[in-house]
Amino acid sequence: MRLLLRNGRVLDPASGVDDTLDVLIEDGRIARLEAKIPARGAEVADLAGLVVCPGFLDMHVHLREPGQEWKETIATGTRAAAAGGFTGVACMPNTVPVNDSRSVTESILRTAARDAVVAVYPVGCVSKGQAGEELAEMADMFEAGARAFSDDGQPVASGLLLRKALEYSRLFDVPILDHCEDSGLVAGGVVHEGDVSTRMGLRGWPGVAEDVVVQRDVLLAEYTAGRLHVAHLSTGRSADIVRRAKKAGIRVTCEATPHHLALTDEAVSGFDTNAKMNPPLRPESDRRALLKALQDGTVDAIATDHAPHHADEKNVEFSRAPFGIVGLETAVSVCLDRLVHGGTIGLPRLVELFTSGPARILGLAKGTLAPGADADVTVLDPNRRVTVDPARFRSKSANTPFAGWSLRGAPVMTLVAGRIVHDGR
Amino acid sequence: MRTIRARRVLVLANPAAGPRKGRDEGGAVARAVSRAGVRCELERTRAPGDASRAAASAPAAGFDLVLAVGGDGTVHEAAQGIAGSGVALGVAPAGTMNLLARVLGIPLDAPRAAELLVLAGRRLAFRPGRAGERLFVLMAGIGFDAWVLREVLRRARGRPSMRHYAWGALRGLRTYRFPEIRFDAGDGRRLRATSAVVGRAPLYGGWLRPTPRASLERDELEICVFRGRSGPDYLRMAPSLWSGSHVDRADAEARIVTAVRGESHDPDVPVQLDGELAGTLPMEFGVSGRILVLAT
Repeated sequence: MRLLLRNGRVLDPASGVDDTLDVLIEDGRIARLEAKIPARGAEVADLAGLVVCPGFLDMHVHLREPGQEWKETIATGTRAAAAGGFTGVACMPNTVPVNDSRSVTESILRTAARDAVVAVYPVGCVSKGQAGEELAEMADMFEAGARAFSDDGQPVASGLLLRKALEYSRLFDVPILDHCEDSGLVAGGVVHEGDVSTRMGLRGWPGVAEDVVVQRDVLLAEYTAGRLHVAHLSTGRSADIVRRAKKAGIRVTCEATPHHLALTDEAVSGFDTNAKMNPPLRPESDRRALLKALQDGTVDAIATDHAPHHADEKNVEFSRAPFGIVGLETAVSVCLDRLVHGGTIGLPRLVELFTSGPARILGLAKGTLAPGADADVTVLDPNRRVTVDPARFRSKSANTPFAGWSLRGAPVMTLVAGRIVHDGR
Repeated sequence: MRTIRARRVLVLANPAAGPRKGRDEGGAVARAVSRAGVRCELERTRAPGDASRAAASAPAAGFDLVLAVGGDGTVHEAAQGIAGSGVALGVAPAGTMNLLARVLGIPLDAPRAAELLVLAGRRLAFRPGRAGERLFVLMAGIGFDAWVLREVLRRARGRPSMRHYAWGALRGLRTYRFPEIRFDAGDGRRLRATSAVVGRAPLYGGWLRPTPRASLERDELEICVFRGRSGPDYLRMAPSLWSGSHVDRADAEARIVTAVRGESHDPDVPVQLDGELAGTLPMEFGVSGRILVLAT
């Protein structure tokens, strides 16, 4: 099967391409990338005015299957991903049962082979049962297809366990993704500790609860020479710690979420449970520090932390509502509007944060349009106006704080291995 | 939380509220609601009790949102009429302190707040505080602060300003007698005090935090009692109310309660609810069974 993507602006930061080019796809791979390619029987898609990028990767997604299919399934979550411009997602292990063994990893991949429309990269647990006590069978899961390890949803509280995980993971060179949170310092907090928590009477969660764990993790990464990835960075001080660690040559990477880049803790005003997330939204000073970390290269990837919850679960008192928001179908538009049109970063840097950045962290041969690469492609219309309408989400859940937002820029077409899985042109 | 999707709005304006009296905030809010494409009627209050009566008749008249344009006193009055009806009450802040608007994170600009509530408002159902037969949304003050309020209202011509309250408080520190009050929370422990605040929300009088653990979310109250016996005692304690550190002092104590009864041998210990005078002790404070739906 041959497909010719014509007249688009091809933007591939990994191979340094930014030009109006045709892209020929043959048998699921990028065959040629040239100024004018004759169709010669290939199906043609005219992408004039659009931007053709390597397939976007979201390295932090909760697909909820197995076990919580009322929130999301691999089928609905990957359709949401395709509609949001993603060609691959890394799914977190806090399912029911948790993904702490070869059999669960294989089961996720089997379901994905049957139901998914984008690539699914399972993340295995660091600890058995995600209990934080005993190392899970990481090698087994790696062989079965796990691409990283994490106890996401909760931190690896024990320094000893994290040390072992970092040391053990070196054998197959995969990263440990840590959800950095000192539960003692969080102390039941539900929103950032500051003016907003004070005036609302909600228990505060200080930024330092993240910072102390990021610092500990960085020290352990240095000590073990393991690969550490800090998930959903939310504070300026954490960004500073990662920045300094990188300068010192420590193997640490990090991600930021669109919501921490676009929103502050003011969004929880009025007890809006759709703005309740973990880590919590922070004040403007932290948001600005994260933007700076995007600009200077401290942040390696943007990831959504897509965390679907049923409306009935969120429609309760703020303190009782679960943490998390959906993000797959809003991330790219929010980032184009707020970060690119907002003047924080250029489009090439944004594409890098969604493609080669996460691909490098997960060790995937993805995130590029170089000839021979898998034809995973995301097509953007950087100027299309969209209004976020949760009723039209492909995700089973609609818990978003961006409902009603009018945004400039959107993903319009998604191809996985040369097959069009979403076409919204 | 469910959205409101208001179709018919009653704008209930208190022209006497706030520091900007004389400005037609009610008219500005009504225009903002109309601009948002929603039908509305404007009613201006003339005397105490008007807001409560108008709010009480709103559900039967087919309104699905009542917007109180004024301060916490206006909200307090409207709440008496509308609680239990299921119709949402929103605040378009035009008062002096606008504590409820601050707690809810509503913009402190009445027309803008109205537009937001009408277009994107959500329903926050909560159980207001109850003092005797009356409801309170934010707090009940017992003793010193209610006495100051009563004195200020007695002396001021028209609606008092912040300056009047500040002077009133200083005068009270010299002249209030600080009679003893006893509180019984029904759990066998009694609290002795000379004043108290029963909080349904964490803020008081701007940025003071006598009851930092009180939240609209919890179906509980926080009572904070003060045991100082003189003006100087109170003056020394006052700064700690900003940080909430008063609870570490020997002359103050805060507890979470579901109900508490206050009484005194002195027949004239006044009570204020949300900044409105509400009689004297003895009085029982609790959480009302009447749900108040706030627009937020």
